[in-house]
Amino acid sequence: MLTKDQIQMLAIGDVVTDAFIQLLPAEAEIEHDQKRHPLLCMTYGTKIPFQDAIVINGVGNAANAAVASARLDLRTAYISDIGDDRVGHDILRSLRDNHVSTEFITIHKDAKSNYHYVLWYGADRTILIKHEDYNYHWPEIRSHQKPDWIYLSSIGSSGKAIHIGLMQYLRKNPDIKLAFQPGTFQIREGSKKLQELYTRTNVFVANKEEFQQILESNSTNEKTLIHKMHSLGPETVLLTDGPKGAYGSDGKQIVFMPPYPDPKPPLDRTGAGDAYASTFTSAIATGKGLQQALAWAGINSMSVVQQIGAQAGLLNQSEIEAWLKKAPASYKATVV
Amino acid sequence: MKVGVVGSSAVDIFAVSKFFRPQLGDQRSHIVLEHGSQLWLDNAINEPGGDGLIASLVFARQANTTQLLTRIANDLYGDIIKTIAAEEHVQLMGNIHTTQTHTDTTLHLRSASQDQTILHFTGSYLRLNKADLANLRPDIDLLHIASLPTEKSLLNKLLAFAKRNTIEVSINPRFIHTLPSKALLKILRACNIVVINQDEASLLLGTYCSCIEAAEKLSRAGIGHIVVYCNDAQSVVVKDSVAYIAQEPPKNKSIDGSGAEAVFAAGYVEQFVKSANVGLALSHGLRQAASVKTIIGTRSGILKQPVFDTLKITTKTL
Repeated sequence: MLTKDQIQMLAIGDVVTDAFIQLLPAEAEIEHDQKRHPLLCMTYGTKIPFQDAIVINGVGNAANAAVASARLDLRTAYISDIGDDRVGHDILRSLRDNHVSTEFITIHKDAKSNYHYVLWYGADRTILIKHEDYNYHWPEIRSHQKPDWIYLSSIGSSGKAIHIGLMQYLRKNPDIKLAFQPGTFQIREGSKKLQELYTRTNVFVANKEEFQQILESNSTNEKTLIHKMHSLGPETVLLTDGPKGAYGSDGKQIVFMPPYPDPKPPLDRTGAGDAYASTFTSAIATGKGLQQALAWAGINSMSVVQQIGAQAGLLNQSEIEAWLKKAPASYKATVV
Repeated sequence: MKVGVVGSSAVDIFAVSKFFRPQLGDQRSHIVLEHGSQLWLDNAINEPGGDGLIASLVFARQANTTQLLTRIANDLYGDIIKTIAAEEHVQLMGNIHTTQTHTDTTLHLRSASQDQTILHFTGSYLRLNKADLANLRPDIDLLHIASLPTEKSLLNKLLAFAKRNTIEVSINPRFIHTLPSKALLKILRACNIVVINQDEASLLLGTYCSCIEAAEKLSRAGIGHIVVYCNDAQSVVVKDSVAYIAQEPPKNKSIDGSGAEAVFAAGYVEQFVKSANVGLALSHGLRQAASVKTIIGTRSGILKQPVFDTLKITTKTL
């Protein structure tokens, strides 16, 4: 329990359980649209057997960040909401097993916990989402529990109370650092409605398409997107670009990091972006520089896609350092 | 009446979204989803499924003491099934947990229309084994086999158990491809009542048959009491060389056909064993099936009271 110690990382966001529906290779196929986006095609109106169902408890952007942070030895707590059901209790157990404090998790009576169905085919997946609308509220955080960092990520459409509570708390505690990895609804809100949040953000993380949506920009130039994001407030910005790599910026220089080469073909890409974002933030939180934070992030992201689910592959510090020692020469940050 | 049901238990998940409408391809129609994306469902409903569990609910709701021999895993869906069984007064027999697999699960991808794409996982019921049969109680009046076990030897043991204890046996064989036709026919001949759908009957006979043809042929093949369920079309019973042909009037709008056959089979068998009246049994079975089709899922459509109305039944001596 962290009640006697100061929290180093406080993650905030929805937590879910993912049921991976593992489709048989012969029962679906991948085609591509005109923009080369992969399309999962299944024959309509038929009965299709699937290979297995694998249930992974306690995931989601913020939950993955909490587990990544805890595995990197940061004392981590988590603000989230669950239903009073078996799914919810399994989520609590899973988080505790990963050394994440659950004392700020609200259990809602007569409500269901969030449960996603993940259609898993090849290394990719399509996630079927049904979010529960909770009566969100900001929990009481006692002064001796005040965190060094807060990591805010995806919250459902009715999560306004959390944003309001967070901003009030940050106004009272200006020394707390804020990392922001927006989820679907926060991206849809845009930067104007959440202006105070962007202004207050120390580390901002999103992928390239999300940058374009938030900034309402068609630009494909990473430097342009990063500069525009800095102008909204964030001191440090991370733009991830899938298998192409990532760009980090501290406002003085922009650094590009190529992906860490996969030791074998990826098994499941779930959580690759979350691993990158949360490892980068945790590294910054522990005093690492931009280039080292990017190097750590790429390794954890590579490791996550080698296993099923977003958390099984998350590494601790010594494991990351071991991968870093045997990194190829090409795995090097370059100033853009 | 004391009833023992042997069959699968599953959780049916109905995921509803407009994205599950078909997209017309070159040859066949497909559901097409952007792979790697997130898709927000309009609704997601968990309902009990599996032929064994559904049949048990039908028997239990007619105030029969009902026991179910099945296999589930110790997971979320296993818990849901245990809760439903307890609520419906269905007793789960023996050590039903399997550690090797997930509980049987069916994911229905539905749009607004009735048609759906069904992703199904059958793992836990396949683990039913000979040792499980020791949990069957000899004091039951009826043994209803709602899903075929994978091994023929298990079926033979079930039949031997029933014979030894003079228990009536009814069977609703689904997915009959798991057994050779000849072997399955031999087993069906040993059952008191056989309920089968038209497609499975055609498969068993090796040629496409109408409902009436299938019932006549299976009767001639030595099945004493054969019921062929034909969904919204005719359903036919042949017993003691008399064919009873019923038409289900399409009174209600059909929303979802999941579980309708299992409900019909259990409804028919339950009433026939109680009344020995083919007309009443057909009427009750068809009304039960029609009722569950009016809603998504099966459980809340299962009737608590028998419904006997003026179902038109014609008879024909073979």
